[in-house]
Amino acid sequence: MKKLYIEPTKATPEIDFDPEKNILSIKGESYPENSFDFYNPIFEWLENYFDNLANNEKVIFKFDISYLNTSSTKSIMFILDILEEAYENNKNIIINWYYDEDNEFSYEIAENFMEDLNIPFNMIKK
Amino acid sequence: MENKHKIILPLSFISIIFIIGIGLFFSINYYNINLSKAQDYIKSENSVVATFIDDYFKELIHFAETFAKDKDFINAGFSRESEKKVLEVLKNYQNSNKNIAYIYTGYKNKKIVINDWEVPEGYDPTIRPWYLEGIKNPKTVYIGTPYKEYKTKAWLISTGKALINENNEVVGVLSIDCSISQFVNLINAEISYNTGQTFVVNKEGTIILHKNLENINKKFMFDLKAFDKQKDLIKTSINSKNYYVAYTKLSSTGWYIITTVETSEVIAPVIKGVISYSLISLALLIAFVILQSILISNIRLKALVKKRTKELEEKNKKIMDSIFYAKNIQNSILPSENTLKKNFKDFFVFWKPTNIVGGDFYWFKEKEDGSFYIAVVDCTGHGVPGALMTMTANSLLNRIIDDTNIKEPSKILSELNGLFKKTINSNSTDYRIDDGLEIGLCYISSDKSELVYSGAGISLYYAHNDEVIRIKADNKGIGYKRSKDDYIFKEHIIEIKENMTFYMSSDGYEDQNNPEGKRFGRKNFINLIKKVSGEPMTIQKKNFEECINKYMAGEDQRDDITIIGFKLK
Repeated sequence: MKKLYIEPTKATPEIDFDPEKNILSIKGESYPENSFDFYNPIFEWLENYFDNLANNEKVIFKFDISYLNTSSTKSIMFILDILEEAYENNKNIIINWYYDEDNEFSYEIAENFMEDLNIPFNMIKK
Repeated sequence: MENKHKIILPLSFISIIFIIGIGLFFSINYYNINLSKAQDYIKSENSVVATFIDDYFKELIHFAETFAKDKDFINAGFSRESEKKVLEVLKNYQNSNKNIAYIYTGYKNKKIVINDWEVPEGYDPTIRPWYLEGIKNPKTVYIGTPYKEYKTKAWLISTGKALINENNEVVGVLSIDCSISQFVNLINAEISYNTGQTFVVNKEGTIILHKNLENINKKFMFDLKAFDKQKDLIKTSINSKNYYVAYTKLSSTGWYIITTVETSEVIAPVIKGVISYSLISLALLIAFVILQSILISNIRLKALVKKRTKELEEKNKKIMDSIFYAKNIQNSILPSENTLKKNFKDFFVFWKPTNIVGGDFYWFKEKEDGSFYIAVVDCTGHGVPGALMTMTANSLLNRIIDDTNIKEPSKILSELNGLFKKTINSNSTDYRIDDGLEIGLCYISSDKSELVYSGAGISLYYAHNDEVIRIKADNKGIGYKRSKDDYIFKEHIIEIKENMTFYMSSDGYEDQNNPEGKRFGRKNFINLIKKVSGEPMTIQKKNFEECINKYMAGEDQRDDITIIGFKLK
């Protein structure tokens, strides 16, 4: 399994998925014109990753997101769906969600996401 | 442009020909100038030697002529007194002229008058070559051919003149013997050609002065008739070798001063110069050709860029025109200002799509009883795809009001949710494609006593008595796959008071970033409402516009912006 790294741009976040350490992180802002184009390889990587992951491996997923446009929100939701499914399949996953007190967006969007999830979801103040 | 194109090739061809022509012209010119320079140099070398020798012998001749007339010289062989005087003169003259080896007079009585020379026993001057030469043409000064002196082996050359008394009798000969070594050194001292040499030939073609002493008194194997001028330079072959030959005929002695240089040596540096000159020209030509081709390709490229740019401009114009036309269509679904004026005490709409058209719109619907709906809707995406969604959302909202008896905002939202899911997302097989919308919907009763609000993602704010209240929308989208069909939206009823101002905004305003990447945020938004809510709505709109422009400070607009503000009493 190869590492997935995508450099951040103005409108897309940094993607840093390290299958060695089992630490996956999405950091930055996301408002590309076509978010499915951007997130498609990420979905595929994740699905492939969880297919090959042993149950006892501990995975930490870090979100540090200050802004998402609507379609990026959908893509993040889809990522969360993948995580949720893996969690239901006995994968050991924790989500750490970093938020900024000054930016209600980063907190509220997480609240919004959490409603439908069973995964351990930690809100961490930056 | 095309014509320019056609003219370029012949132009550059002409330029190349022109350059080659100039190159040739200059090469030939260079060759000629430098060759004639070389020839002039040879001539001048020859001339210098000729002048020197001519001057020298002119002086000797002059001396010989002058003293041959002198009584003492004529008598010195026969009078002790004259002899003394003559010896004195000769000594002085010899001292003043370094080249003179011997200077003496011989007489028919076999007497010889000479300084510092022991006259051998039985020495008879009258049978010496110089004496015989002297009396051959007694009227003129003679210059002999070089000879090797008996004792010192030094090469000498004699200048002499017969001494004639008043009875026209030849009584003796004055002779001056000069060492020629000085001349030999001189004649080849300066010439800078390896094959160059200067020598002296007398009228008969005998070599008199030559750097190789063994050549002296040998015949110069060349017909002197070729030297038909006083001085000149000719190109000729001597012993089957080609030479440039500069010559000067001396008026004093009738000698020829001849300077020869092999033509090949003269031409070689000139040719070298021409070659290097040509190489430089060639390099320049190549550079020129390269530049030309760059120029041509640049012109071609420019033409291509121009063409492509024009194509792009045209395409862009087409797209933009198309989008502008779409804007007209999108505008047509928006409620008119007159409609809004009629139903609200005061209102403003700040509608600013990201790209001409957008996914945001505001919706107004009046019912027969005078009650009406006002909504702000934010569909997924922005620009053209967003705009397509707004058309659907608008149709669905109108359909719900026109074709059903649903009245309550919360139920309208539920219905919209169901319809939208059926309309938009049901046909897409890709489970990741999931579109929907956020909406803030207000229903205002006909007597304007109360306002009923339901929200899916778009909250309602209202300001009253310097207080701003936020009524949080339900945290649910509409029309998304995960939006549950049976979800019931909350409904909030607000009693409308005088000077209450209401606001609904899509997320574009709060989400807008400044150059540091920081969102404008809700806090700022609420503070802004607080600050402006007392003003007339047009002023408020201006404030919202200016505030966000200032905050953006040149940053791109991130999302469609829609804010409506209204007052009912």
